[in-house]
Amino acid sequence: MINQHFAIRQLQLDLLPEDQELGRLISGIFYNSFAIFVVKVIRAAECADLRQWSTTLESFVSGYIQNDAAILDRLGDRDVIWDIYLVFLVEGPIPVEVKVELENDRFYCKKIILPYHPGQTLEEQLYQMIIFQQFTDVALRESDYLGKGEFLSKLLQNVEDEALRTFVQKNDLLTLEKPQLLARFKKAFKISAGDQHVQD
Amino acid sequence: MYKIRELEIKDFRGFRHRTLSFPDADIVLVTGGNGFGKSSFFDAIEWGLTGSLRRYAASNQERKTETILKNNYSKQTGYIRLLLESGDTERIEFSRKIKKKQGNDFNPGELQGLTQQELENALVREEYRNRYDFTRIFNFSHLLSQELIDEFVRGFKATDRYSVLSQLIGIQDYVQYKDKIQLLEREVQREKERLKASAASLQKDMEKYLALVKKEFDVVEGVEERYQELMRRSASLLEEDLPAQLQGDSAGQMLDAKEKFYSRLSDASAELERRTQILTQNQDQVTTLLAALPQYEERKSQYQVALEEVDKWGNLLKLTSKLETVESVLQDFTAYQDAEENRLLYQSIKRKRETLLEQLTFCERSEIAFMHKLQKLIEWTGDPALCALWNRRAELEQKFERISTQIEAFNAMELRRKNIELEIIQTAYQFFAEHLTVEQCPVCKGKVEPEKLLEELRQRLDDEGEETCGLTPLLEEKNSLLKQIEEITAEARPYITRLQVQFTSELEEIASEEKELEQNIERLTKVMNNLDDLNLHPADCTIAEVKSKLEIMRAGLMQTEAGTLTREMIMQRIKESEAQAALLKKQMYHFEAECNEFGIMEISENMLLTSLDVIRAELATQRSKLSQLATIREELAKIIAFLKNSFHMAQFQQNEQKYLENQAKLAQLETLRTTLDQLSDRVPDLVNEMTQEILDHYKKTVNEFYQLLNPQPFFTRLDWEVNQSSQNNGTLVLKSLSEDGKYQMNPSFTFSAAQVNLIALSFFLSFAVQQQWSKLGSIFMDDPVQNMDDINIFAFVDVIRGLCLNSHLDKQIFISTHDRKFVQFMLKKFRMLKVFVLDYKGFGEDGPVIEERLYSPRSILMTE
Repeated sequence: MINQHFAIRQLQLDLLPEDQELGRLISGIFYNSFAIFVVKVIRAAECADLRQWSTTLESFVSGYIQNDAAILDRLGDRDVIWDIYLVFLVEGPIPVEVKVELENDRFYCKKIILPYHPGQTLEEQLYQMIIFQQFTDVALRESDYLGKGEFLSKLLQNVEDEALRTFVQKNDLLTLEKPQLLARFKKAFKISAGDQHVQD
Repeated sequence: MYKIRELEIKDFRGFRHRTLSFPDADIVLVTGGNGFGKSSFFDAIEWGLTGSLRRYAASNQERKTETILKNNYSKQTGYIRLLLESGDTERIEFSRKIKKKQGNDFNPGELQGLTQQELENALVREEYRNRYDFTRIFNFSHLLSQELIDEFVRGFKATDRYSVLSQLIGIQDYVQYKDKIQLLEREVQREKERLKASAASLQKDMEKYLALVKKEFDVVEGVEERYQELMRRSASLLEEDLPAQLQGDSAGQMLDAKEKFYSRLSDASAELERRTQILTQNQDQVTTLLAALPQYEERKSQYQVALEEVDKWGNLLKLTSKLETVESVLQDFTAYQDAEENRLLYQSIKRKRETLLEQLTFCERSEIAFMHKLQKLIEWTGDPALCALWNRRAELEQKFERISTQIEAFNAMELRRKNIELEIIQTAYQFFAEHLTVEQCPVCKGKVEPEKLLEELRQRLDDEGEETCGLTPLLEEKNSLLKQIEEITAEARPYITRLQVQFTSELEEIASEEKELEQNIERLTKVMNNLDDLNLHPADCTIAEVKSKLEIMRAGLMQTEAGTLTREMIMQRIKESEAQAALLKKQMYHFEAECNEFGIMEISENMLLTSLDVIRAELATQRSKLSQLATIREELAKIIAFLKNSFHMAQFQQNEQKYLENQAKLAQLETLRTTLDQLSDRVPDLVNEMTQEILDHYKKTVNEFYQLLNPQPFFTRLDWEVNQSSQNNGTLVLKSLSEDGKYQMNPSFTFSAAQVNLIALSFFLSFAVQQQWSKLGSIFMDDPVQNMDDINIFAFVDVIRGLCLNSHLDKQIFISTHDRKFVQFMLKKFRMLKVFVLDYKGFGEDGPVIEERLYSPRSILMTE
């Protein structure tokens, strides 16, 4: 079940005629309640141009989203410019140094580089990969903590001496002071001061 | 979940007096320059809730002399007041007053409003209370202080890290079981040592007493030899093997052997006593039998007499029966005389009755032909009228036969004619069927009309048939004859009926005569049987001779007692004699049975005397053995008594008993000690096992946070190893792994400050978000982004925002930072959340200058 804040929808932009060609290069633009995701699928043949693509699309974000008052007004909150994510879905291996370089560049917007899964829609890939998504799946696990009963049961599982089992399972064993503990122990196991042997 | 609604800080740390109210905000941002009192704010919350400040807990020496909690500018006693609310219904309010003890104020102070226990009970869910110490684990379960962020990865030892996490999952306290069990084990060991010392002493004394006992044996000369002699004698006496000697030479064993032997002799003696007693009884019994022998013999002769009496009266009874038979025959003798005549008459009547019955039955039988029946009746009666009827009827039947033959001949001829006629018509049909095209007759040349021709043919045939028929007069004559025959039959019927009546009447007449004769014959049969019994056979002699013989027989019997005594009197005498004989037989049987017990089958005085001699001889032998055995037992008893009464022997036995008890107790304690030892070894292992098991549940979430915060592009996974070899505590060694798991390293020694902070954050958030044990829903992070670069900060803010937007979580998150740009960034990123800001503008003698601002959530993104 997708949290209503995270549910994503596609965004249609009215581009100027001269920019429509650039727009066509973008694989898709999506939004949820607090962020915009500009998605670009990078085919294997284009991997070498990943940096170039980043620059190009960064300009697109800057020029057509962050600086277009009409679009921002349509989006309802101008501060959304702080929540624009440029997502590259890359077909083929992603060089670590390129990933580190691009993902550490948050100029204009944050960039995220992820592997492309051809069998999935862009929305499905975003659902699986966007950083917020994982919190929707955090089903708060009931504490699996094992209790004292479980601990003592495991501790005493091979002990056959019933008196000893009973003694160790006493609730206040850990809180007893040494003299009380020993007194109770001696009483339970009939440990006395000692028997005197018969003297001549 | 409880959230902080109000915090009053009075003369505590950097604060003089300030009451802060917290609206129901998702996030509380605490911002301000360094030294403006942001950490004092968190200190106030930590000390207020737990009564301690973790970051100063280790500074043992300094805190003894320094004023740590109280505001330095104030002379008044400071305090913290907290108001916590959960929903609209539950609330906790209390204050904690600073208290100086032994020159310093670093102590839990004085709680007012509720006790520390009540406070912990309110903040820890009931089912977790015995495992979670809120005070000890608040720092990390709810509060991530700057110090903890710094230390968790790099500053902590592996054992400290393990300790913090195992406390967070609530089973660290179980390690105490090891100490407790070891304490018990040491006590058992002490008791064992004491018992061992006691055993050694007992053993030493036993050896001493054994030597003394042996010495006493030597002093009493020949005790052992005498005992051996007694054993040999008794074995010979009882015709048994010598008892086996017990192994060992302890005094206790020696005495035990002798007591067992004495017990055996006692059993043998009792057996001898029993046998002697039986023999004595036998002797008395045989003596009594001897005395009763004359009486037995007298009874025996009386018994014979009684048997003879029974025979005598039995014979007389037979004579009486014979006399009764004779009397009976004589009484019915007339019947015997008429016997022959009666028999002949009876047979004649019987035959006559059979004839009549046959005739009557014949008359009644309807299936018999009339002529045959008539013929028989003529034979029986010779009636001429019946003869005339028979003749007339015979003549008519002959005529009838003849006419019937003629009719049959006519019928056969008619049948043949019909068949020929049918054949002609079929032939004609066949002709027309085969020649349907013929339209003109080949003979007359006229037109052919088949239907007409066929009809004409049929007519001609019928006419010809009529010409040959002459059957009717014959049939009429036949019917006339039948009528005449029936008339004759009707005429004969009254004759037959009359004869039937006649036969029935005759049958009734002879029936009574026949019955009387039957009774006579019955009586005669009885007489004949009696004569048979008396051995008189009428066939051999005349009737007069039979009667004469019977008369003589009666006269003879009348002269015997049968003539004077009645049958009942004789029966009575027989019964009395039989009773007498039975009584005597019974008395004799008892005597004989007793003799049989002693093997005497043929009873005589000699036999009884011989048996008595045998018993007396055996009795003498047994008594002698018994006497010898008594002597042996007496002597043996003296030996045993001597040994028992020996002082040293008694001492030895007492010590031996105690020694055995001591050894048993030692064995029991050794088992107990071994078990305790195993248990104490098991405790840390078990705690470690359980810790690892529980911590493994957290690995997924820790890694989720770690990857979201994204501190390292290559080592993207976190793992840890829990070392269970440690007896007192476990260790937790962190590992950072590459995505494919091929490469790993220890982040404690390789990661930068910001990266290790992110690890601490991942752990903290994982436990803080998932914890179930506490009802406190507030999470405090004091400067969590220290040392972080922009990209990590960006990720951190996204994580916090994601947590707040997750509708499952019900948390109040406090974040402090000195970085105002970071605050501005957060305000933009948290624009859809309710954010409360405590802005520390400055600091002076009156404490921090704080500006409070509340940011309401702005509308979320539009829809198209």
